[in-house]
Amino acid sequence: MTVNDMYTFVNESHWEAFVPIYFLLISISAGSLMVASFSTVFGLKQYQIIVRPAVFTSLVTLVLAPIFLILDLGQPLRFLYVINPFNFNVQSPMSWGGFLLILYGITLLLLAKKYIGAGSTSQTIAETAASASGRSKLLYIVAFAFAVFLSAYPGLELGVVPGKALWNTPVLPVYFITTSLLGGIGVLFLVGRFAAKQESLQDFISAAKPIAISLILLSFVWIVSRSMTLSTSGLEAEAAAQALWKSGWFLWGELVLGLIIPFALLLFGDIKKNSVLLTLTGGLLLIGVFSMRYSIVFAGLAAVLP
Amino acid sequence: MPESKPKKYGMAIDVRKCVGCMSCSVSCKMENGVSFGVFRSWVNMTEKGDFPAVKRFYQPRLCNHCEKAPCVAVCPVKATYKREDGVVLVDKEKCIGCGYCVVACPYNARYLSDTQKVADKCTLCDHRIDNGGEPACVKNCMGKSRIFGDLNDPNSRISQVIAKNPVQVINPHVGTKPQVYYIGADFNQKF
Repeated sequence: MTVNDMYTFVNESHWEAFVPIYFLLISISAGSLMVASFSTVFGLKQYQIIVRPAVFTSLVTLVLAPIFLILDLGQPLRFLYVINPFNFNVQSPMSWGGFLLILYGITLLLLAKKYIGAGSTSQTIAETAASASGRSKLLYIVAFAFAVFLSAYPGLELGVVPGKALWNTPVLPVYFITTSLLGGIGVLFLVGRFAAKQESLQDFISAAKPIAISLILLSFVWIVSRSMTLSTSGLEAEAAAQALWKSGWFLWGELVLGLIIPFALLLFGDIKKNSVLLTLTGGLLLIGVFSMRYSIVFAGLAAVLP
Repeated sequence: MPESKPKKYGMAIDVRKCVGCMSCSVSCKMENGVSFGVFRSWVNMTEKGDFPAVKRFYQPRLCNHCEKAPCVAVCPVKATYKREDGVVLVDKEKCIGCGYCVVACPYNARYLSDTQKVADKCTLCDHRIDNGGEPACVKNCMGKSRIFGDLNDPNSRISQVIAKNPVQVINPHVGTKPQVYYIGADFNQKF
């Protein structure tokens, strides 16, 4: 009889679902603003109509995000310690993230102020955004830059952790940017339906559709390349790949519901005319974005060598 | 006269002498009031071989007080810090309990204290060593497997033991430069 048994102990992390929810909310905030920037920064007219809903969606999700972060703290009342400059740790992504959230929030408030105007129609406001110049344009560019960094931030926060093979990759922040953009498009499919005029919305959908398809393909590339490199990079990495593929959140949430089905709907469904399909696509994209964050966090935590 | 180096505390664990009595775990819990379900010091075990030639191997574990400690690097409020003598500690008045250091530790040596709601871990019994004593796990090790001391003092017992024996550290590929050295350990035992 051959014996090969192991009795080990691991102190477990107390991270709960609040962490991926927090990541989701900041990703939606950054993602929707990045999508709006296609109009405000890059001048694409098809995106004009979603600028206003994007700014407000971004603001609301940014206000909600820290609530989940604070709820996850062992000492919630000490959350302000993170934004005390004397405590700033230049090596800690979470330290940078605290200040980034503040700066991004201020920029968003300034942007939102522009869109709170009595009597303004969303069309005229959108056109104002598109024709912005000087200081106004600078504000949009700054907001876009902050949004890019904010969308990458969860990936950086996890990516610097040396002992977790699933997290510890320079690709992770880029993957978070990719999925944040998907989340931005998803939420604007949902919000745009109620906030925008039908004709302008169709222009936006036509423009966003190929981008969403490309982002989904990029996600597939990331998943395949990550799984293949992990499965050939030693015991720890192999355990990480196995933990990821055993995760229902990854397999069903991200891969099937969040990527494959929306991919099919975007390719073969008439989401421009069928509002049910549009809502479904938007909703599934968001499920995928959340599932990706959930599976990365918890499969990463599960895949440790004792 | 050459200037003496500052102290750099570390630990050597001669696993050949470890009998798996768990007195390190128990004494650590008693000394530091460690809660149920979490450990600052514990012992991993493997059993391996073909019956009747089956052997049991022990690997006592604790915080590695890494030179390049990821927990110090990631702490968003500088609550985790490394003392000049190499001991990694948590300022419990400053810690926000975010758990980032807990997930960043490649040795699973940290946890969130259920009573104080802040990060907690092995302190090398700083309250004892600052008064010239040894950590409780070292003091109570019945096999004299754990050796504590100043790694910068060539005359210390730990330096001499490390000089005379081949040593290993856990997960050296992570690049954290652990200050807990293992003698006689076979890390191929899949710990």
